[in-house]
Amino acid sequence: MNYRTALGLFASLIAFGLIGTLFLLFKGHHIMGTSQQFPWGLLISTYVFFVVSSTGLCLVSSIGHVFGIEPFHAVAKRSVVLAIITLMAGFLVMGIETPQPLHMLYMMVTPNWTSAIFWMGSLYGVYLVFLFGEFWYMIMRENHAKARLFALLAFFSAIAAHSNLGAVFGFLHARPYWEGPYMPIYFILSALLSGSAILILLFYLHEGKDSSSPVVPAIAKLLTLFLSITIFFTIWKVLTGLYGHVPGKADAYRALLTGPYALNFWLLEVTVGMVIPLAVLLRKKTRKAAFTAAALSILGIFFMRYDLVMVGQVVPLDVIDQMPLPVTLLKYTPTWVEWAVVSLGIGFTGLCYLLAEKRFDLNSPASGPHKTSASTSSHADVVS
Amino acid sequence: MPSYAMLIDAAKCTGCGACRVACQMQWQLPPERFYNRLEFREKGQYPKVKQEIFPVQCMHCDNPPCQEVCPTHATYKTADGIVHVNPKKCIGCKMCMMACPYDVRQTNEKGIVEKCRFCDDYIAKGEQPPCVTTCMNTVRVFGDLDDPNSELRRLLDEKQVFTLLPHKGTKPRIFYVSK
Repeated sequence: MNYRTALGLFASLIAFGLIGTLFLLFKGHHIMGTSQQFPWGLLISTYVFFVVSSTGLCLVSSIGHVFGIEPFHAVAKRSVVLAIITLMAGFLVMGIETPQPLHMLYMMVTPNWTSAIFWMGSLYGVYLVFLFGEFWYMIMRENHAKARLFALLAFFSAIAAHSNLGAVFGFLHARPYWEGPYMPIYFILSALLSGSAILILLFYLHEGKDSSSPVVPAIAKLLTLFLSITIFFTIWKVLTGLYGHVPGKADAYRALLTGPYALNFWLLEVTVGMVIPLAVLLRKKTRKAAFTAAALSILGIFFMRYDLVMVGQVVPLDVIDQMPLPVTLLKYTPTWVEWAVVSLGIGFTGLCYLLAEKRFDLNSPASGPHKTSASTSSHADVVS
Repeated sequence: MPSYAMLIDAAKCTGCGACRVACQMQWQLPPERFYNRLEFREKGQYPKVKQEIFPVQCMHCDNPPCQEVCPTHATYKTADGIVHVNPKKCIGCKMCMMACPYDVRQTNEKGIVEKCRFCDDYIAKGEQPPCVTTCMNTVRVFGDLDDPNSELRRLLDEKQVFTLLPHKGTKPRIFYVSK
């Protein structure tokens, strides 16, 4: 695919997204598929998808840029650019999803220190500033010392912000599917998974399938590791969720494993997102195999986020626990307007990235004490 | 400063729904939105079956999870025990709806979260909330917990009461008479 075609594709996604956004703004948020009992929908999971991607890009690129491990030096520039863009895409989707975004001003005027959303929002704001600092000194000024300092700050703020995003779910004692310390930990792991998969995709497209660059094979090893850990985490999360038949919690897991989310879980999340990519990576060590595994993982990760948000709400709250009702699962189907906003986020990410590739020199590896010998010479079809 | 609370004697409830309609009229709510509701439960086995009805609304908890999670302090609790939502600060993130174990919060047409407010403007004038006054069987008794002469205090001292979902640690201000 050439540069102009890719631009056209992403511009079309944005155009469709803008139509949906205008519908949403003029008709009101009730045209989304969410309801009073099912308040969070596709836009929340898409926000999570984008900010997880941003955090993951930052964390994986830190391996080279901050901690000095050789092959990862080459990914620093593209990582920081895409981390900024995916974070902005997340903010964009969240801004559209939130009915009163201007009221967010009160997060500064009357902040609530006990609110995970307050910490998540504030820390992501700080993280964005550090990412801009890293971008400025690495790409615009070629000042490695300052770029590394900002990268280090971005690394810690990313972990703080992202674990707080996990806490947004983990703090909800009313929702047993999410409640507990698992969520903040899982979110960090899942960011590493997303970051590795996106970087493989990006560098495969950029360097081409015949390149001898060590970047893709190095990140492929990471992806193998993170996929294995994710499978391990998922197995134990599911087993503890089912064990003891805890009302509300086990019901949600049954909805995931054998109920309305079973197809999403077994086919998209487990088979496409975890098992096939891991099998491909273990079987073949080629760049193409890494690319296939990464592409499948990203698709699976999107549905992982979707299932995470939806399954937590699918069991209605039972207020009269002395006389519980038989569980009737709540239904949620995203409307075209919500898919349009997802399309806007994807189009925004793609278009901004393509423009950044043209506008900035992202080919040379980040300069510094451990300058890499990684070749990034061959230009990708996508940017040629 | 009064300390408001409510006692509900669910055994007296006929399930007519007048409390819900009175509240909807008071706050000019469309039919699909409501600040209180009735939960119906069946008990026993045929032929000895009984239906129980539980009126449910915001519990004005003393440890309100909705207040803890709100990023802007749009949800806040006043010294009189009432949990309020300031619509000027609410961003519509719906975090409070996720945190409330009683499922009593709803969004309005602007995406701002609303719920029962114990009709604070009304009670400031010495009136009772319409859900209380409209009920033909005096299912709800509203009053000041700290007033030893109030009917609410007297009934709470006399009767065995319970709260909903006590294990959630929310410390509700709506009490139910035990049967």
